[in-house]
Amino acid sequence: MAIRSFAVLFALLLAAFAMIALHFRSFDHGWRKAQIQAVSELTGLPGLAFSKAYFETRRTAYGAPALNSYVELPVIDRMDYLYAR
Amino acid sequence: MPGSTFYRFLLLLLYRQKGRHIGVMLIASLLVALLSAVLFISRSIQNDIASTLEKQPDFVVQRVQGGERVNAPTEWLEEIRQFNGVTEVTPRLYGNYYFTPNGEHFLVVGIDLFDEQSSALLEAVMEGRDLRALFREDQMIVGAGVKEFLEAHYYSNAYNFRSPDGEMIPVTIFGSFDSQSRIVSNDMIVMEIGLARRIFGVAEEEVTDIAFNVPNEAEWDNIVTKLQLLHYDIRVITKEEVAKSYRMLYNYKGGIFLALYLVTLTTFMLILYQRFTTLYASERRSIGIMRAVGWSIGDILKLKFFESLLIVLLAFGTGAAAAYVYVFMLDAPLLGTLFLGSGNLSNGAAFAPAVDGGLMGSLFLFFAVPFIASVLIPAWRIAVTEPKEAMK
Repeated sequence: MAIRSFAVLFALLLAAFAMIALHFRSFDHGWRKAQIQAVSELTGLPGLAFSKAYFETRRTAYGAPALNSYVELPVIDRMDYLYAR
Repeated sequence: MPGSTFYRFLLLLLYRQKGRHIGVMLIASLLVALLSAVLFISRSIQNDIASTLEKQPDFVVQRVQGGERVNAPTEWLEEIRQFNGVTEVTPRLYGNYYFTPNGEHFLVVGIDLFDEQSSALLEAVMEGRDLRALFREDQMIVGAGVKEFLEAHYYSNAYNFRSPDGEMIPVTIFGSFDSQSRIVSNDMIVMEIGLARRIFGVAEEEVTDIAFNVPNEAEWDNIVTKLQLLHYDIRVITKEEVAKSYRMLYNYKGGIFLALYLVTLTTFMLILYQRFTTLYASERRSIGIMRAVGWSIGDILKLKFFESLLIVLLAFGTGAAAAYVYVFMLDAPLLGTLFLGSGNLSNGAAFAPAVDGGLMGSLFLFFAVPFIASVLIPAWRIAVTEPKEAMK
């Protein structure tokens, strides 16, 4: 009984992973990349369309640094702090 | 290696105490699912950012006044073209257009339709459509989010833009971008550069900024110096800086999420440790009995190791699978809004499946090692005591 229960549990987990693998393989990554790159190349703008409020800039990478002596320090007092990770 | 009798005994033991293990497994799965979902979304967005960055111009030149960007004069175009090694000098015109009744805004981008490269790209994006119609009247191509928004506000065929001097400019919707590009085009409207100029009220001799490429990377520093010597009110943004800015942003935020996860994981492991050391008198007794009937300390540790390993594998597998389904099949309701924002047009962008094997491996180690340790250490402490003491 115990062994059968565990066998069923593992079989279910394996089936879930098989379904995930199938989903991953069947997704058209190339088409999506081509579409994103075409729009990106057309406009030349790097920002993503995060749904920000009107007072926030979409062009994150073009913003001024938080500290001029350490330009790589990201600015954290912005809403995009929430969006990326 | 332990024989089949050992595994049979292990499974029987787990099955007999399933009530105790299911609770631990559920909490552990939830922890793994939450962090995996965050990592999946983040990886997917990072992949999309990498895709966009590949197609970015090498340099963007802006004019600054008082630290803020202002429109650049078109004379700069010719000055930049004079530099040796510079190609594809492109004037760009873009800006936010506010839809005042709702406080929503669109990113309007003007492109030169007579430019060969832009036309080819438009053809690729709007496959099967006759682009000549774009020249006949004022038309625009809208992102999926803009299209949904305009349709909801009864502008299914055209929208009347208002220029700064109050002129109404009706613009017909030519088509929309594929929904797969929503992550970049959701709030975007692309139109002919002259039309964008009228909508924003930008003079003929001005542009928003200037983009150009320098194919020889060895020349990049030299070009930046030349540009900075050319004008004092100039800001030069290189493609490398844009990429670095995104990379730093993600590493920084990733670090914060990892720190939060470590705090949660440590708390969970401490609870687990506490539970195994104090609550289970029966656990002590059973280890004492095993020792009394001749099991060595090594055998007991082996049993506990495999027992916790099985729980870890099941919890991790369930958590990771649930996270994948949640993010990539159900498009991450709630959490997706947190990542994509909700301040402007709703962005129903689907996340492209992206799994970072290395990151998931590290996550497994971060999860499995403390989990197994928090079970093995109390088991070892009981196993090394006298069986008679342990059974008391």
